[in-house]
Amino acid sequence: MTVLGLRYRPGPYRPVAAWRRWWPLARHEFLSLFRTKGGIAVFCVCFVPLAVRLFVLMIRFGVVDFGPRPRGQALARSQALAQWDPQRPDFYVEMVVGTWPGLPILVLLTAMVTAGAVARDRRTNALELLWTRGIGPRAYLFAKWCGSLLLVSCVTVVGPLLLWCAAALMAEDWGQLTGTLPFLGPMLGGLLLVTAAWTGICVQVSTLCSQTSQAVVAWCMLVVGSTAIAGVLGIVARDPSIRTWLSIWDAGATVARSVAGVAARGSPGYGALFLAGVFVALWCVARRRLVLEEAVG
Amino acid sequence: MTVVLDRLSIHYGRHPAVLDVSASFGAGAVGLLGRNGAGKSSILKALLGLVRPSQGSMRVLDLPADAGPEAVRAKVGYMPERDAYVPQATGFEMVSLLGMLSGMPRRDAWRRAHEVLYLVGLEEQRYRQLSGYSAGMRQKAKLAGALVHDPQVLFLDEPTNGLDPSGREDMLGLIRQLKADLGKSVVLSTHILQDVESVCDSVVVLEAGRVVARGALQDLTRATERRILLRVAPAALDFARFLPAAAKVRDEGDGRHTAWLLDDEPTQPLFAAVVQAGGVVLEFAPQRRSLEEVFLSAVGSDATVAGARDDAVRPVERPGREGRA
Repeated sequence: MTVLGLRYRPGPYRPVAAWRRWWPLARHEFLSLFRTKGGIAVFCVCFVPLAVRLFVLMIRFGVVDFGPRPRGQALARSQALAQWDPQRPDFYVEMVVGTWPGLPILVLLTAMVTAGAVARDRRTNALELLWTRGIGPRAYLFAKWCGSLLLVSCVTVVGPLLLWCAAALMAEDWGQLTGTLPFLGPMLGGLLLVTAAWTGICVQVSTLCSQTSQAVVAWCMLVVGSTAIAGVLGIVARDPSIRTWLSIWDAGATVARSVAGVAARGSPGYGALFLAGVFVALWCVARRRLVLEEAVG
Repeated sequence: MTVVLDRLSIHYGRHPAVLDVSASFGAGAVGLLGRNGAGKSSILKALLGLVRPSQGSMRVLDLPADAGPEAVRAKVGYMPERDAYVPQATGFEMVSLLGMLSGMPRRDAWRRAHEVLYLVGLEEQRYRQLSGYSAGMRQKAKLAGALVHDPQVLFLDEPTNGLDPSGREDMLGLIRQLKADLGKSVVLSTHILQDVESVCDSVVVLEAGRVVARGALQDLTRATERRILLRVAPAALDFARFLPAAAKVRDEGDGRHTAWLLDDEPTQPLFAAVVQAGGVVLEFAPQRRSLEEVFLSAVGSDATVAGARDDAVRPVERPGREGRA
C-alpha cells in the first residue's frame, strides 16, 4: 500500500556534471548556522558594527538629528575620526579588519561554523558517507570552504556593501556615490580575498582535528594567540610592522587595507606571503591526513 | 557477473589486508563472510575506489576494469559499517544530499529521498534531526542513502551492526525485499552467520585476507558425508552391533540416534540393522551441514563467530572416525 503516493519508483535521471556536485554540500555548510536559534543569534550579533555605522550615517546625513553636525572637512582632517567619514574607505573597511570589533566577530563566526566544518563530519563518520558518492576529498574540502566563505562573506563583504549602498541613498547629492565608487571594487575585492584566506586556513585547521571543540580551540589559539604574541613583540621591538608577518589577523588586515587604499601599518606583500605560507603548510599536512583517512577509514 | 575480483591484493603499508583473492559475485545476494579483520571491508573499499589495490584487478557490472571510482559509485550504493550521519541534518536532508552528491538533480533527489525513506520505514521521522535517531533508524537512513540514486548493486557492510533482534529482523527483511522485489544485487559483508543464511544465495568465506570457501549456499551446506537422525522403537534398542563396521552411530537417548554415512554409502543397512535388532524406524531425517559448520571447517575450529550456536562452535564429535576405512 502506498501513502501519499510515496512509492519507490526507480527512474532515469540526467546526471549532474561532476564539477557541479560540490554545490549542495557548500549550500548545506552555508545553512548550518541557521539551523539553530543560537546560530541565528550569533549571525545577528555579527551585524552590530554595521548597525552602529548605519546609525552614524543617519546622524551624518541628518536622518537623525542630534543638533549641529560635524563638518566633513573636520572629520577628514582628523586621522582618528577618519574611519567615521563615509567618504573614505576606512569607514567600510575598519568595521571588518579593525581589531575591535572585527577580530571578535571573525573568531565568533568561524568558530561556530568553519572550525567545525570537517571535524564535525569526522566525529559523525560522515566522511565515509560523502566520499563514496560522486565527489572526492578535494571537492569535499572545496565545498566546505565555499560554504564557509559564503557565510563569513555575508558579514565581511556584504556588510560593507550594504553600508555603502545606504550611504549613497542617504546622501543629499551624487557626491557620495561618485566620490566612493572608485574604491568600492578594490575594497570589496580585498575583503573577499582576506576572508577567503582566513576561512581557508580555518578549514585546514578543522581538517587536522578530530573533534569540533579541538578545532575551535586550535583556530582561536592560532588567530588570537598569534595576534597577541605579535602585538607584544611589536611593542617590545618598537616596530608595529612586525605584526604583519607574525599574526594571521594582522596580515589579512594589512592586505585588505592596502588593496582598499587605506594606510596600512606593515607591508602587504609580507602579509600576503605569510597568509599564503600558512595556507600551503596547513594544506600539505591536511592533504596527507585526508588521503590517509580515505585509505584506511 | 556483478563483481569480479582477479588476484586482488590490498596492503596498508606493509600490513597485508587481502591476499590474492579471486572471486566472482553473481546476481542476487552474496555474503562476504569472515571474522573481524578478515578483509571484507577492504574489498568493498577497493571496489569503491577508496583503497588502491597493490595487485590484481576488479570489475563491477559491465564497467571496464579501468573505470574510475566515480563510474563505479554511480552504479553502486554503499552502506558503511560504522554509525555515520551528516551532522545537523534531518533524515530527508541527508538522503537528498547524498542523492545530489551522486549526481542527481535537486528535484529528482528530493523526490527519491521521500520514496526511499518511505521504503525503509522512516516516512514519519524523515524531518527529525538524525542526531535524535535510534541506532536502528540510523541504519535505515544509511540504507536509504545507499538506495537514493537507484544503484544496481548494494554493498552493505555489517548492516545489522548494533541492532536489537527486532531491528535486525526488520533490516534483513528490507534486504530480502530489495533483492526479491526490486531486483537489486546485494553484497552483504558480515561476520554474523545467521544474516548470511537468512538473506544470501551464495557466500564467500574470507580468513586472514584469503578466500577459504566459496559457492552457492546450498552447495556449501550439502555435506560430503551425510548425517542422519534416526528415531527407533523401542527406545532401548541396540542395533549398532548389526551395522557394518564402516557405519558409525551415536546414541542420543530416548530412542534417538545420529548416524554418519559417506555420500556413496546406501542407507539400507541402517534399516536392516534396526529390523534385525527387533525394532522399527519411527523417524529418518537426513541432516544438512549448517553454515556454522562450513565456516568453522573452513577457518578452523578455534574460530569464534557471532551468532554461532554453542553446539556449532564445538567440534562435532564423530566417534571412531580414525577407525574408518
